[in-house]
Amino acid sequence: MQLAAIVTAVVLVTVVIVAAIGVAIDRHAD
Amino acid sequence: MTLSHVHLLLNHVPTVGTAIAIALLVISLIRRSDELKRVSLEVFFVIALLTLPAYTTGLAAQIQIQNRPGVSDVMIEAHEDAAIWAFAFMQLTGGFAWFALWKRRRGGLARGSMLAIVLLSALTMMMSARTANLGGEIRHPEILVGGEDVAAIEAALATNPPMITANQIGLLVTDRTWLWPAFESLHFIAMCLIFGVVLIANLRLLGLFKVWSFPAVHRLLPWAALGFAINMITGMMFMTGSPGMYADNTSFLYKLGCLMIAGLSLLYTTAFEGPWWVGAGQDAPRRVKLVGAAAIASWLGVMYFGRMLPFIGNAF
Repeated sequence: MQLAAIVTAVVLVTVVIVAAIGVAIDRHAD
Repeated sequence: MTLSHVHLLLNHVPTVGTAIAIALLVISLIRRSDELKRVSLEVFFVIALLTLPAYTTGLAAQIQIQNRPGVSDVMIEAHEDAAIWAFAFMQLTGGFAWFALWKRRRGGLARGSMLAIVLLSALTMMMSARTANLGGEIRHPEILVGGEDVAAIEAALATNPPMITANQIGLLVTDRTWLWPAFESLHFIAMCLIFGVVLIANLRLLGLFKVWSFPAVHRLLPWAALGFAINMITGMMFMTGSPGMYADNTSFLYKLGCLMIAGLSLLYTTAFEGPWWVGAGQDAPRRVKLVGAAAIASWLGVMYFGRMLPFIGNAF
């Protein structure tokens, strides 16, 4: 249970960071 | 052909290739040639791409050569420790080069990226040269200078150990039970991100979604590049943690081959003229369609051979 919680937290945090980087890069598109 | 053959084929590419790319960049700045600058960025990207198999196949060569008489395991590890940093800086340089190409295609200048490329490529060159020299010393005594011998080099390496070794990175993966499943999840999520963008961009080139111009879908490419970066990091962590699963794995060799075609197709759709001028309602030229089809097929190959690592190959 603890393992699943850590894995989920790591995945979610990484996805949020990557999404933020993606949005920041997209601002250079125009 | 084994992965060791591939390592021998590619192990000079990072050093020689980076030198050529830096030379092209310097000449482009002297001549103020925009076209030459673009070519140097493309070369940086291709060298970073080829460094991936150059690095990963080194592990196969290590397994083949270690424990043989006259071969120093200490020197092999020193080569690997140097290689992992040279690889990381090479990928950073290639990543900035890709971003600069994407932004220039869209009419931007990417001055910050160009500055980063100049600094990173200089560091990469130094690290690659050191890695190549350490690699050469494993099996080429003729390059030992000033009466050096293997014992002296081993002693010198022991007095100046690297801050972080490849072995420590490997243990980071294997000693933490949460890391492998977390990275495996991220590897698959990033794969979906890559393939989603690849499908949209390349199906457009093949004639679907004609209501969109190619420049409209071109703006999505950084999402695929981000996915590529995540999978490069997570994939390398798997490989460093469990090199034996990949080092002599036929499926991994095919996966690497597909990845090279996929990477080149990403470069083509990012920077080349052909796809860029496909406007809304227009059909792409046949050669552009061919690249679109190759891109989708190669990414399917990457996924297929990745999944078949335990079945065609010997992983897990």
